[in-house]
Amino acid sequence: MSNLWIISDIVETAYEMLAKARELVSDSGGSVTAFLNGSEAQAQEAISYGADLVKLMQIPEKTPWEEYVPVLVQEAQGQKPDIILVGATRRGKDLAAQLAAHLDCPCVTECKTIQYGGTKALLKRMVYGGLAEKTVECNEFPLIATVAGRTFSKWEVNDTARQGIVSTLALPDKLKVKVVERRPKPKETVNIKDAPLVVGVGRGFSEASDVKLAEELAQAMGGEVGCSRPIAEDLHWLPEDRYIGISGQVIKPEVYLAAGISGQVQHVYGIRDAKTIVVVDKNENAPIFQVADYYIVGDLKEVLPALTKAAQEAKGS
Amino acid sequence: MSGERFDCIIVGAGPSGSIAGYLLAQAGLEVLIIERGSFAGSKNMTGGRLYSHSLEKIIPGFSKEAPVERKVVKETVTMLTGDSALSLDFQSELLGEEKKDSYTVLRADFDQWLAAKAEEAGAILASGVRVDDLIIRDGRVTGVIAGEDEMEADVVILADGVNSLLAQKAGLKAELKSDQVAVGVKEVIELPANVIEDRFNLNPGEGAARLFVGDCTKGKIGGGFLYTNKNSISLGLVFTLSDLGTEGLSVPQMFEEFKQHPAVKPLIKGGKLVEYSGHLVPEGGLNMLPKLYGDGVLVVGDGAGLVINAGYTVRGMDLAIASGEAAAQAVIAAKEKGDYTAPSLAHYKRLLDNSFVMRDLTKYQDFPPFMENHRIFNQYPQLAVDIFKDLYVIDGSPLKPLKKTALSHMKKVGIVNLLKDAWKGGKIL
Amino acid sequence: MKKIVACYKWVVDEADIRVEGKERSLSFDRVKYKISEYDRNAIEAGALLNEEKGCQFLAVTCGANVETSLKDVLSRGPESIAYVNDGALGEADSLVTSKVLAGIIKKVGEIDLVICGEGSSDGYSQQVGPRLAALLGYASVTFVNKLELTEDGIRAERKLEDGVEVVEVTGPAVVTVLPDINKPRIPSLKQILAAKKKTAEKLGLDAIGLDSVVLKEKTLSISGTVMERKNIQINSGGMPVEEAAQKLIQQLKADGSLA
Ligand SMILES: Cc1cc2nc3c(=O)[nH]c(=O)nc-3n(C[C@H](O)[C@H](O)[C@H](O)COP(=O)(O)OP(=O)(O)OC[C@H]3O[C@@H](n4cnc5c(N)ncnc54)[C@H](O)[C@@H]3O)c2cc1C
Ligand SMILES: Cc1cc2nc3c(=O)[nH]c(=O)nc-3n(C[C@H](O)[C@H](O)[C@H](O)COP(=O)(O)OP(=O)(O)OC[C@H]3O[C@@H](n4cnc5c(N)ncnc54)[C@H](O)[C@@H]3O)c2cc1C
Ligand SMILES: Nc1ncnc2c1ncn2[C@@H]1O[C@H](COP(=O)(O)O)[C@@H](O)[C@H]1O
Repeated sequence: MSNLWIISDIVETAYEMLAKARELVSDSGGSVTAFLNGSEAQAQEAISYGADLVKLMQIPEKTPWEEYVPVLVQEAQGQKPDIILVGATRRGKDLAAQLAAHLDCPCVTECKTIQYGGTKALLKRMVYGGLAEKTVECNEFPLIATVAGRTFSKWEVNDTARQGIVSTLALPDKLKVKVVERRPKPKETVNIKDAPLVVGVGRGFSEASDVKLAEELAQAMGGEVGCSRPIAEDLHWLPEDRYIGISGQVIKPEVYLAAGISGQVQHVYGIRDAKTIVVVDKNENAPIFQVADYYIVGDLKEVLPALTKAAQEAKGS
Repeated sequence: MSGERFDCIIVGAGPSGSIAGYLLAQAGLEVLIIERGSFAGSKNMTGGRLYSHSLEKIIPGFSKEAPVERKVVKETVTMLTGDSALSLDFQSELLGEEKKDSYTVLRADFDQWLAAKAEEAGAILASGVRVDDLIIRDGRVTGVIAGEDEMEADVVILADGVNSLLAQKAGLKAELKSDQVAVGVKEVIELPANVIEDRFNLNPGEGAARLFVGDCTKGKIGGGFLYTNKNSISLGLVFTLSDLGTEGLSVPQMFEEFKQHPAVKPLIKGGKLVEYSGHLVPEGGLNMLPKLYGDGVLVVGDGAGLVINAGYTVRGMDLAIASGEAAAQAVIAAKEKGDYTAPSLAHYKRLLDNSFVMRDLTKYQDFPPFMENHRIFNQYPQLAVDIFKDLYVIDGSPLKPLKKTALSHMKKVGIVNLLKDAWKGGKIL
Repeated sequence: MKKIVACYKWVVDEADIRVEGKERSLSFDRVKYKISEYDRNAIEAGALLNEEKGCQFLAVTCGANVETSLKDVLSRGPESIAYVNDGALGEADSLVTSKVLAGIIKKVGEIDLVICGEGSSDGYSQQVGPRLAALLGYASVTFVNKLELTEDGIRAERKLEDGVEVVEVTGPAVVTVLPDINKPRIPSLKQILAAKKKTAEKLGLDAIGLDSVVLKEKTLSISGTVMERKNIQINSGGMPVEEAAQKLIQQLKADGSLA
């Protein structure tokens, strides 16, 4: 009989992982425990999405979430879980790695698929910035895997008849890290994942004010603006929820139009499933052209306004 | 650290700089080689053929150790017109003889190896650093400036390549003019070794060199080259800057047409483009030789214009190596005397004068002006092809005697011109 | 004086890896190595703290082929490097790597701060930092974009999905840094020359108390992800920008990908 755990600071991801966990224990009729950053009501919901036991571990006020690790280690030593799925948020990844070190077990980061047959598990994940996919086999347990949101789907209909037990986890006595301040991030109103068309801004934009060229084009073509990681993280020209790639958003629009983006694998990872990829770059050797359906070699300062105009005219016609 | 001082600073880790550094370090001098690329060879390009003689003299048997690609055993010159090609093959045991042999090389690997040899000998290599300026005191070069840092030395060898801004700063030469340089563009196209060997009829380890004249530069001065490497082909074009822009075709377009030519296309078929680069070639020849030395400074290799650009073939690496060697010898002699003034360093020029470098450059002295004669690049390839078309294209029309055919074609060019060019060319070559 | 360690990984430049053939196998024929991208930020963070506060600052690494990295790294600030170079580490997973690194760090002595990158360029497992913290019994502070030393520990800002978390640690810590924490230096001539005089200490696996390397993650296969794309250049042959723009928009309309 297998014993699976899921741990997540995002409840939605927890529900998705629960579906997967139930699938993995189905043959053996094992149990699934969910460690959840959520409310009592969400704990009940987690049960109806597949959990047998729910242990609430809410983000503490004065210390990081990851400080639950020693308690989880203790629980694991008692319960002996076979597989632990952890939601791959930044908190989740930190917690998963610490837990793996204490349990001296492997941790497969951001796995895409997971198969488990009781004695061995097969998992797939990306390596080399998204250039390749690696299949790993683990036949020692426990095994930890982190899972990004939207990797699996939660049950379409939750089963409110399911019964389970809810309890709350206490923090350990000794804490190492003190939180002195939390500054919540303003919520972005658009989700570029839902946009039918995304114009990607890269370092080829020489100044912040040029970003409007992309915004105008996105508007004319009926889409949103996204960007490469340095635009959001180093230059802060656009919010971080808008950067695309292996460590950012993975998008699947009808059209992705990259401008001034060189096409490093880490970025390309996020646009692999775009239906059509269009590229504007002035360097005719830019690797991004290799992943383009259509491309224009040229200066984005000239090409984007021309595209905006052409798109507006085409709309009018 | 700031108190550190070197006997010699060398700017540039191309073949000329690394060889100078190698020899100086071997002689026990404190040498610093500064290279702006993230590693030696990272940005360098060449057609790809190294004539071995000058390096063989310094590092005997180098080809067994160095990352050379293939030994050239086959030479082909091809004249191109829009749709036809005429090739001359040369194959000889001579091509393989020691010191007469030549090898194809890829600079990223080759330059790294040569720079590592210099380091092994004791030279210090600082890569990823650009020298911005020279320290000049009372007309004498006493060191270099790189960013915030200054570094002093008894003598500085400028091995910084064709542009050599530093040689200009040292007052050794004037700014390059567009008629003193040609441009080269090159693609490296990957193909499996066995495909290359089948396609060019080679044994493993053997290589082919091909030169193209005529249509590939649209009759402009210049030509194309193709060298076989282990797992790739170097394909390129060289043309004179002053001659560009008159035809309305851009460089990439010209390259594309070259690649599409029926005589070229099958040679690179199925290959994968892995690298594209462009570079200048000095083409002044002896007539534009700069001042080769000054107080505390020497200039070598491309920086000194020590290149033989015969339009469709460029030879510079063996000269760069020989000039690096001569400069090193001059610096060693100067150190013995403790005198780094210009008269003392003049030894460098004397060594060059007595070597193949100046001998070959003198032989090609009149070549640049000869090349300015466009007939070589547009009419003669057409002429040769026309003659052979008449010979080989049989369509049932009555055959004319060869002499008559040839004459009628030659008349188009003008017999007088032809003789004049043959006379001039014969004298130079 | 505080003692700081930066961990860096010496990785193949993923831009040089090529995907080949129908099996989409990876070819490493022409690859060059580099300091893992974000580890340059880790090293820079250490170098800056060192320059500011006068610490003892060294770097550590482990791998199958790390010796060519030493000069480059030493020119970026650390006073020395302690490393394990062992063929057995070629395929090392995060579990093994963090054990080896923890071994090296313990050998080096009492450390106040260990700095890692947010994730390595090749594996990007984002584990080694927090694993190290657990193995060493230090506090783990990940995804940091602001870092300062305090009297008895550190103060750092973590960037998380929902906002910023400002934390303080008393005692030793392992932090992992984000790329926007600093701009890694391009080593100057003097820094490069200074590096030539610095030392690196090579440690054997036995010296850090590991006699064998056991991988618990077995790699079964790695295959390149491919994208079949049309690769059509719209503006070949010097076409004016306006015309190219119109052609592209028309094409997208014809494809049905633009309303
Ligand atoms: C572990 C790791 C994870 C990463 N994750 C991500 C990720 O999720 N997302 C991401 O995007 N990156 C990520 N990166 C960073 C990635 O490796 C690249 O550094 C980044 O994508 C480069 O951004 P860029 O293309 O905008 O900039 P650059 O690479 O600098 O490219 C700029 C381009 O603009 C062109 N250009 C310049 N001027 C003009 C002009 N006037 N007109 C037209 N074109 C012009 C240039 O030719 C060039 O192609 C990650 C890196 C690592 C190591
Ligand atoms: C298209 C083409 C085809 C050719 N084909 C052949 C051929 O087949 N056979 C042949 O023998 N020759 C050929 N040549 C010529 C040959 O490449 C050169 O003559 C040779 O490379 C000259 O060597 P060098 O050491 O003088 O200069 P380079 O090889 O140019 O080296 C100069 C070095 O200095 C560095 N540098 C420059 N400025 C600075 C600075 N300020 N600070 C620090 N470092 C600096 C550069 O990065 C470079 O590494 C060809 C050239 C071209 C362009
Ligand atoms: N082999 C290694 N040697 C030294 N440091 C490493 C090694 N592998 C990982 N690290 C450090 O751990 C960080 C995270 O790596 P990873 O967990 O592989 O994503 C890196 O940014 C490095 O700072």
